[in-house]
Amino acid sequence: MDTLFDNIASLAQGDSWKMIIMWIIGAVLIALAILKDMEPSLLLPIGFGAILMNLPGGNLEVIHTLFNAGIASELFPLLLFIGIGAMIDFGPLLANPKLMIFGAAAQFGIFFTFFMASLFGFDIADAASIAIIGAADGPTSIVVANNLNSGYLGAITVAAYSYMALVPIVQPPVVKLLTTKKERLIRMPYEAKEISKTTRILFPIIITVITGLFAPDAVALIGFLMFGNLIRECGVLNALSETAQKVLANLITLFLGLTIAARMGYQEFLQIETLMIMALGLVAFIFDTAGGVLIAKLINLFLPKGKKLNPMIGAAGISAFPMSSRVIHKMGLKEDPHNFLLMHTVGVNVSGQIASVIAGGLIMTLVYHI
Amino acid sequence: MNTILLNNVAAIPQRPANYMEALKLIGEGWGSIFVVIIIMILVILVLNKVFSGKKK
Repeated sequence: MDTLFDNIASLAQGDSWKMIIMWIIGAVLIALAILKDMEPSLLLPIGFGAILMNLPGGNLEVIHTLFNAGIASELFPLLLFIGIGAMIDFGPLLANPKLMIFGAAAQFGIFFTFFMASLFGFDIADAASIAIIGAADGPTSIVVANNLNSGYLGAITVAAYSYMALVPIVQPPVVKLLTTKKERLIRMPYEAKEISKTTRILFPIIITVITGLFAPDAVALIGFLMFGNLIRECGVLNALSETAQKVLANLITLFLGLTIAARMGYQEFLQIETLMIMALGLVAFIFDTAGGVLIAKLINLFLPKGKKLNPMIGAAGISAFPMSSRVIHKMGLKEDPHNFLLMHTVGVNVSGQIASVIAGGLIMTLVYHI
Repeated sequence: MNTILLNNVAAIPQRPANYMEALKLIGEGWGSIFVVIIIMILVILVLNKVFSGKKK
C-alpha cells in the first residue's frame, strides 16, 4: 500500500514543484487548443505530452523511442511535408510569380532574430535554431533545431506553433504601424489566368532541382513538399493525394505533438532561456512581417500610379499558411469592403512556404561558415 | 542524431556570433534567398510563356 503513495510523497521533495509547473504549462497549452482553437492539432498533444513527461517515476521509454525514430531522424517533419505539399494549390503563385519576391522578403525576421539571439548570448547553433522560429513553419523549425543539435528543441517547437496560431494577433498591429490608411486602401485587381497542367507538373520538379543546386541543405524539406504537390497535380494519383492530405498528415501530426514532449521534461524546459526563446520568437514574427511590408513599399517607389501594390500583401510572405493570407485579406476588407486581396495574399503566402524552407536550408549551411 | 551529424555540428564554433558575424549572416542569408527566389520567378515566367498556349 505504501508504494501507492510513494510517488505522491515524492512530489513534496526536491525539484518536484517544477513538475507541477510543467503540468500547468501543459494544461494552458491544452486550454489554448480547446478554448481558443490555437493550432489544436499540435498544441493539444504537446500540452498532454508535457504533463505525461513530468510525472514522477513514469517509464516513458516509448516517447523517447518515438523521438529517436521520428524527430531525431527527421522522419516525421519530412513525411508531414508530403501531406502539406499535397494540400497546397500553387496556382495563385504560378499566375503571378513576381509576388514570390515577398516570400523572400518576409524571411527577414529569421536573420534579424539570429542577430538578436547572438546578442542575448546564445551559441551560434542555438541562435540559428531559435531564429528559424521565424520560418513560421513547424516542420522546418524541428528539422533545423534537430540538425544543429539544439538543446532547446521543445521550447523552439512550442514557440513556433504558438506564434503561428497567434498570427491574427501579431501581424495586424505591425502592418498598421508600417502602412498609411491610403496604402491599405490600394486595390489590386486579380486577373485569373489559366495555368497549364504541364506547368503545374513541372513546377514541383523544377523547384526541387533549383533548391538542390542552390540550397542543398533544404533539398530534403523542399523535395518532400514538392513530391506531395506533384502527387496532387499529376492527375493520376488522386487516391494517394487524398491519403497524403488527410490520413498521412493527420497520423504524423498525432505523433509529432506527443513526441515533441520528449524534450519538455522540466529539467530542459524550465529555464530562463525558454522565456528568452518565446520573446525571440515574437521578434522573428514581427520582423518577418515588417520585412515583407517594407519591401512592398520599396517596390511601390518604382511602380507607376495605378499599378502600385497594396503593401499589406508583403506581410503574407511568412509561411504560416493559410492563416496569414486570410488575416491580411480580412485587414484589406476591413479598410475597404470591396478590396479583395485574397488571391494575391494566397500567392504570397505559398511563396513564403517555399522561401522559409530555403531559409532553413541556408541557415544550416551558413552557420558552418561563420 | 547520427554520428556524422554530430561531427558536423561540432564544426560550428560553440560561442555566440559577434556583431559583425551576425550582420554578415543577415546579408548573406537574406540576400541568398532573394537570389534563389528570383531564379524561381524567372523559371516560372518561362514555363508560363512556353506552355500558356498549350492544351490545358
